[in-house]
Amino acid sequence: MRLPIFTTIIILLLILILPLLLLQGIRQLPNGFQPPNNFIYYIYQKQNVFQKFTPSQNNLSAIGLSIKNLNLSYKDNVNLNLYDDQGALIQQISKSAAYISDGDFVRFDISPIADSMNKHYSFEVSAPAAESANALGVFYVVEPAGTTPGQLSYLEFYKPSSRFAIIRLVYSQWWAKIMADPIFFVFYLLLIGGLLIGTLRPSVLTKFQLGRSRKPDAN
Amino acid sequence: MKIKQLLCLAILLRILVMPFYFHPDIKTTFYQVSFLERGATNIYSYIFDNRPSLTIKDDFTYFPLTYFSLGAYEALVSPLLGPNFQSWLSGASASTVTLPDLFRYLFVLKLPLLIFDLATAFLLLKAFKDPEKGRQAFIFWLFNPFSIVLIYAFSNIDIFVAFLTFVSWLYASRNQFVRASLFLGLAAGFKLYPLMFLPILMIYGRSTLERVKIITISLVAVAIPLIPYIGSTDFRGMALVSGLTTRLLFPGLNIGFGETIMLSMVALSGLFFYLLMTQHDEDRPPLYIYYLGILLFVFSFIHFHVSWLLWMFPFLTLLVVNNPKFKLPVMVLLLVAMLIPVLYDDKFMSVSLLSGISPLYSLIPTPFAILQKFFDPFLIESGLHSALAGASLVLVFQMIRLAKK
Repeated sequence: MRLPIFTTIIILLLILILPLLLLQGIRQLPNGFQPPNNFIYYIYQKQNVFQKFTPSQNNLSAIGLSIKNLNLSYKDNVNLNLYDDQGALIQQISKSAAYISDGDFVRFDISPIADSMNKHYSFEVSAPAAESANALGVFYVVEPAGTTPGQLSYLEFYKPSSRFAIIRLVYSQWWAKIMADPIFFVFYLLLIGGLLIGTLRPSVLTKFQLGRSRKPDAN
Repeated sequence: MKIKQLLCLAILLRILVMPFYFHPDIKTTFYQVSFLERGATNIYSYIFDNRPSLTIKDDFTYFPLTYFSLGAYEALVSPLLGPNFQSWLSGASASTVTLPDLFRYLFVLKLPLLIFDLATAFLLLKAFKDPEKGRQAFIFWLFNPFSIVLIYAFSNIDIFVAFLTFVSWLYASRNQFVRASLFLGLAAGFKLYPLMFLPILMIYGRSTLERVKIITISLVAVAIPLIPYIGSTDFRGMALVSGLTTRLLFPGLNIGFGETIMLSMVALSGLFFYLLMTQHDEDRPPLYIYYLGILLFVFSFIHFHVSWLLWMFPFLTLLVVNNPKFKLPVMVLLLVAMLIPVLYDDKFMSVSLLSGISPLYSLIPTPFAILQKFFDPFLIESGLHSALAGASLVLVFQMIRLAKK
């Protein structure tokens, strides 16, 4: 009888505790889902990409984008320069491309900017040591054309105010999704309730069955 | 606890996992089998011909029986799943996990797995002459956490094959070899691996005629659903000789001049010839020991998909119930075997299984990425796999030795 108890504990841990524990691994929150990688553009030498953006929250802490490094052919640094609304360089982050494989999502962590919300910034991604043969690919949602700047496929990340804010966000997302399908929720609750009764009070089931089988006798 | 209580608890535990753990394979598979409703009878050619317009462009690596059975199930339950189900299936972006009906979809799509899981438990309950042993098998099957995670988190179809293979064994153990062959062939109609058991099953036949019947019926049962597709190059490329199907034969020792000693074939032929030489011994090990031996050897030498581990579970249950002293070693072996895929560089082997609850779980670094900061994760993975191989060799040796006593 030890195995059912042991497994019940394991499953409850998997459902109730593991999701909570894993959240300790989240340090930053994205501003949504990464937009589609519709068009590829290669960066090398002085051929860079540039993107203007306005953060929707305070504590901007990273910018992430997918990078194509075919066969790990480029092994030098890939840089992200962050500029303020005056075009002044405020932060520069370099990452080795040696471990960026084909299409990896790469996050450039910056020192969090406490008052980033609604301010105008821009960033530039470059691979100065790359040649055209081992250029890195970055992706656009809307391809630049002529004087139209285009729209890079990237994500902004923000440092949450506290660890509890992440837990609250995730559990509110979970709860909202459960409540968004009330028919399934009620059915699911009834099912769990019925199975709990069946597990803890088998006499209820037995009585129910006996009651049915005794009916003809009573007549 | 009574069987009814145990059953209620077992279903409860499964139902707690079913809606909340998400692996994208279930979505991809049901997207592909939904082509049946569009009238596509050859899914392989359909995918090849329509690939540019398909939102998920993966090959369909399963055999036709999977396509027709899951496709028919999907057609049956799609009214329960609401109008957004098809757009969820065809969605290729990461945001598909945020759909409000996701938990309903996962619950309903995993119901066939629950049916086959419970059916296997009841077969185990009846598989022993001693009712107490049957009860122990029932409990071990339903209440080992490994199979619950394998079936309901990774949500692959391997439980169908494990069930059919077990039915085949059950008939064979009662000397009903015609039925055993039929079910073995049927199982191989979903995935080819049960064919590895065919030479062993054949030796257990009691006469030459019975052996011929075993081979013929099994192969005919496998072939019938495949005959309409054999001529299709798309079927052969996607399913019959796909990397997943032939992976069982991959690992080997290169001996030069284009020849390779296939390790899984070494194990298979070793067990086969051992059985051939001892077939007339009165104390020869039971059939399931050989089935289990083959699988343990194979998993020792191949880069396996985590859900393949389920193939061993019915036979591991028989082993543990017949020899309780194997319980702890088997649990340790399973733990090691489960840890290996967790270390693969694949988010859906670990953290992203919870992305149905919140997509933020996909941001968490995988065990591979964490280990990479301190040590070479491939070295740890290799160490664990080597440990699995060593433990498996000892387990097979001990199983055969003890069974002969």
